[in-house]
Amino acid sequence: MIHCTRALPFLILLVGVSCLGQDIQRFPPPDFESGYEFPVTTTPAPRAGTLNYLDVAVLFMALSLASYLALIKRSRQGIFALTIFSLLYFGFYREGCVCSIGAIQNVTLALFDPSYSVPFTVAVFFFLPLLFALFFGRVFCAGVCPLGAIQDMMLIRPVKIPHWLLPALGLLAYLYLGVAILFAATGSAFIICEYDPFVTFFRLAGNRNIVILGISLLVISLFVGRPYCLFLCPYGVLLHHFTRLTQWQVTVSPNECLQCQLCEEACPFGAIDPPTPKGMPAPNKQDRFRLVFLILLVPIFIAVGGWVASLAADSFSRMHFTVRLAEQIAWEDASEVDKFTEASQVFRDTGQPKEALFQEARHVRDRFVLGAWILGGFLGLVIAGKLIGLSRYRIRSDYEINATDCLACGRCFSYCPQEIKRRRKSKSAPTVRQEAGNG
Amino acid sequence: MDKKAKSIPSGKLIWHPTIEGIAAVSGIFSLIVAGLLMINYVADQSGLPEKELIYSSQLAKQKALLTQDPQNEQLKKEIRALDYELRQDFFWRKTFSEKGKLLLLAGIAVFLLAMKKLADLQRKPHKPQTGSREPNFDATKRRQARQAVSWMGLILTVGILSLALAPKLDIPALPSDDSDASVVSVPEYPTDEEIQQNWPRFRGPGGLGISIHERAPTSWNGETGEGILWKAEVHLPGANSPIAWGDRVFISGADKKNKEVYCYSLESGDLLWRNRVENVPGNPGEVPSIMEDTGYAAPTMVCDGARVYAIFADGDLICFDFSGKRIWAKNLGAPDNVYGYASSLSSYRNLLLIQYDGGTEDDDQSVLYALEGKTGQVVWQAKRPVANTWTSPILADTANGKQFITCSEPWVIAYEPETGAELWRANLMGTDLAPSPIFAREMAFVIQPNETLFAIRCDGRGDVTETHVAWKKDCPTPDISSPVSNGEFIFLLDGAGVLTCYETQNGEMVWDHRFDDFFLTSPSIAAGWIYLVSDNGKTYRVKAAREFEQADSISTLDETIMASPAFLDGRIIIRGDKNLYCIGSN
Repeated sequence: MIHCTRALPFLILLVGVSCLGQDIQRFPPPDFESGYEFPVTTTPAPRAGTLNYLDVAVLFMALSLASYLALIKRSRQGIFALTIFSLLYFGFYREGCVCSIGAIQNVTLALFDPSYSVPFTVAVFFFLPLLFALFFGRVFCAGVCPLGAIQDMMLIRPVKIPHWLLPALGLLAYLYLGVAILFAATGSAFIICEYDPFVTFFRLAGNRNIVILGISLLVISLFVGRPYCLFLCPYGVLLHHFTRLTQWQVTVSPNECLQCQLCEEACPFGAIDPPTPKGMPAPNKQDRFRLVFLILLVPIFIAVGGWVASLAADSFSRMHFTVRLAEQIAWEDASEVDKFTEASQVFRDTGQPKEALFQEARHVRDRFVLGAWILGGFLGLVIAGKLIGLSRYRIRSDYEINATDCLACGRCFSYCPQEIKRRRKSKSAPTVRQEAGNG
Repeated sequence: MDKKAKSIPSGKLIWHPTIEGIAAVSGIFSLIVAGLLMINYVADQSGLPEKELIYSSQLAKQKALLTQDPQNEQLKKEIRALDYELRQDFFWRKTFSEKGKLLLLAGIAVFLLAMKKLADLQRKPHKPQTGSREPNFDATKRRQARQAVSWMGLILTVGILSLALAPKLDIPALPSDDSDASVVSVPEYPTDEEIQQNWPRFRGPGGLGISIHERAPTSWNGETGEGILWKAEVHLPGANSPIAWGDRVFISGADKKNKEVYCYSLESGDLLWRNRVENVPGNPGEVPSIMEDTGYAAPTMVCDGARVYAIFADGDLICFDFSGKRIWAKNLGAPDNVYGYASSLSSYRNLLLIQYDGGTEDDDQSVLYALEGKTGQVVWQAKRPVANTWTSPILADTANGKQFITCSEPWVIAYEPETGAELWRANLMGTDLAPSPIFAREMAFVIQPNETLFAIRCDGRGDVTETHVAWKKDCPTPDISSPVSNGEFIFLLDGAGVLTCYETQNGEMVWDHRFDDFFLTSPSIAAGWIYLVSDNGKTYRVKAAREFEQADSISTLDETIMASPAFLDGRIIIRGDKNLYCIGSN
């Protein structure tokens, strides 16, 4: 007989073993002596435009359904079924692309490079979940995002992360977002896509390091609810802020809160805020001083953050192809390396002037210096903002869903006695037809 | 009732064994599949069970033996058999891996769902809590959270600072980095001398069909290979002419479904890169209906020394660097042209110039675009009151500066290439224009097919129709081929093979000669000779002089030729419908 706890190591082993099938196997082409010429490698034709519209339609339907299931139907089972559908469609069928998280980079690049235009589908995938967040909260996270879905599937033995640790770990997502925007804006890389930890599972193939990263996150997902969503997802940062303006938010209890604390126990994401303890002392002088002091320190946080990040601008700029090539050419010219790389060889074959390359590289580096200042300033602002937020006193009379952190998964519904009562009542209520028949 | 059963609500007991069974079966199944995958993986990676290693080394040995004894048929058979066996083994393992992964995925999915359900069943319900937390609970948590955020901020700072410890960028500084006074501007466009040395666009520098090189091949034979340095396959059809820069030759090709750009080595004819043109932003996804002879890749590409540009019948415009890296691409919208878009691209300094004429003169569709080559951004654009055309614009180096001269129905218009400002225009042209203008002796020469040759002085401003037409000649002018001039004479070649020589000064006819052949290409002048390439691959040479003189040798290539050749120092690049040829000698 299998007991859940005993089965976990087995599960971890199974997931680990599955990675062995991920590598793409290669085999050298045969030697032909008949003069046979190998066909030139060509790129597959792009996906048909109508199918792109289908993706958009499916996204819209899924978001609408998630909103209905979370806000009106209040059905965890429904949301879970939608999660499985999204995992199959956006994950395994669409192989994780196009996705709203990666679309951040397309939109960023389009903003900074006028010659790049965002494909219609990508633009919709970026904006539509944000639009829904404005009205219905993070319903995209609830049952539409395939990355969230695959982690949700793994969650079997949820372990509570201390509530006080969540804001600190949440900083990583801001860092990831900032760095992703920096690299996309400079045309260096789309790191969100390159380091997507789950796309290798969706495609059943991929880079071994990414597979290991994905497995690590899935193993963590056995115990921690959606670690990527909570601590790394850059799109989650945007959704977090958009939901501050949400019109209709998921609620735990359909009626008055009984303060039974069950919902807080049910939420694996720490998105339920408890009521203010009775007798909590009012803010004293020290508390008020801390708040004012932190507000006054905001410019310092921004300046220090910008300065620190600017020191790393050279390292950041090496993500750009032109900078790497220029440095390689310079090393080769100075005989600091033994071999030419393919890229440097091709560049030399073109006969283009090295000075132009060096100048372009320095121009890119200059953009990175500016970008690093902005990135560091942004992170400084975020840290200051978190500290200020944690220094403010809020009064809550009941257990409340934290709108910005709630993933609208619906786990808390069935824990709430009031909700259970409501369901029983609606089940036992006679239908109009029954009443008519009886009458 | 055992201990575990006590912990599970009685209503759920009935499901518990079933779900446990599902979990057990799916788990064991997944483990078996995973084990088999692991064995397959290890066998693939390490060579176990030694089959791979033995075969590989054996194959290598046998191949080495074959190099010593290349005629050994028995050895060849053994190598083939071994190679086949290895390959079969490889593909079997590949198929096994792919199917195994799907089975494992399905097994894990069922296992996970069952485990989740079991976890739900086994979860002890929490007891509702009563009473409030300690008064200082919130303050304590907030303090802890602030500390955690501070520590995380510190860790991030240290992390970023550790990046700062990496070596500084090692890129040689330019003088411009140190002082503004010694600015070294790396040119963003080639000099006129560099342009003259190459063949960067349709009909070469300026689009005039003149090569400055004193050496040009005089005879070749496609059948025997005499005088042909190399020939390379042309993969997709295209009426565009080859262009060349440095050691590279570029052409484009397209059919209804595919569009591609090719780069060949001038030295060897090797295809250095071949890039598909796809996912172009703004492409409507519809293929325009065009005349078959024009095709989907009629416009000739252009090169500015650092990048090459290509445009296609559906309005897709794309830029690659010399290594084949796509720099930018955009769609200009398919022009309304019943014959298909055919105007070739031009460049001036850092600008890519596109004569994008469509519709009728009243349709307000025709535009002249100037795009920044590096980015594809529009620098200027000029609306043109003209109808669609097949002609290509030229860049004239007049006494008053560069002029970008276009020829469409009804206007011949000259622009200032830097700004797009209109310099002069002349209302001379009728419908169905294909021959492009040329420039010689401070005059632009334009052709109304089958009717008239006009010479327009280029020093006018505004409408010069009545004031600057130096002369016009009503004569049987060509309907496709563009003229060529050595300054003193202008040479016209019509499709039926009549070559006519006129004086540029006054339009007096000097001589004419009929070739027993048909021509679609435009004549060019190289090393004092006019090169005439016929439809069926013959090349005739005629002296560019007052007296008619034809070279004895007629060179041949055994295929249809529609594109005008490119002339380099001692070499000619000719595009046939099947192959690209480099004519010359080592």
